[in-house]
Amino acid sequence: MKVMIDTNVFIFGIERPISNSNVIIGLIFKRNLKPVFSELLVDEISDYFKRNYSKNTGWLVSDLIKKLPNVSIESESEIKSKINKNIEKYGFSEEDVVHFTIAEEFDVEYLISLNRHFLKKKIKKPIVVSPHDFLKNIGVEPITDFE
Amino acid sequence: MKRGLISIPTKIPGPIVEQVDLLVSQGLFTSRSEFIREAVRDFLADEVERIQPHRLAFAMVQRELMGQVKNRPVEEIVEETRKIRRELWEKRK
Repeated sequence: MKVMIDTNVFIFGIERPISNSNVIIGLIFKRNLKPVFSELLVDEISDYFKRNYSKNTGWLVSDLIKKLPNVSIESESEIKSKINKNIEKYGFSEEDVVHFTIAEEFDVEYLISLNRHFLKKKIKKPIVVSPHDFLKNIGVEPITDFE
Repeated sequence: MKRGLISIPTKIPGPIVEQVDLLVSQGLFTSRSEFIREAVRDFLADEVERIQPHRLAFAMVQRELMGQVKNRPVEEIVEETRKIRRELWEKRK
């Protein structure tokens, strides 16, 4: 199953060992999920760790993403023409639509996010869910109620 | 993290020890211990990298974060990552 993990979920999973986000990262390690990232997503995650911890930590996190089992990291440049069309379709800003466009283009089934603006919209393709609801959907008992 | 040399008693088949002794006698290693240290180091690097590179990478991240994680609320992380996203996207346009 292909999933896209939003920046906030990946960060939360790395920072909090006891979290639904961390369980999802564990499923990726066990090769139960195929993570799809955009280059922008990888840069966002890396940048967060660079700003909040150190340049080295940012680099190590980027290296970790590239080494995830079954990972694919897609370039935004190849789907630029579709981004503008999707701004109206999804009703998000350009930089958010990038990830939805890549998710669409590469048949991602779930986009997992903690962003309430995304979760409110009830998008069906990809299915946008919180980490908690994603785990419930795939039959895994969530370990926390709050994310 | 443990530092310094730690003794690990182990048993190795005789024929293998004979080959190690041959390499030591030819001056390629200073001692049996040195040979075993090099062999373990090389094997560890190759095996961990080959089989589970993501686990090693994850362990390295965890080590960097040790004692420094801020435990910020989810909303704060979401807000900050939205800001980073906007800034990075602007630079790419």
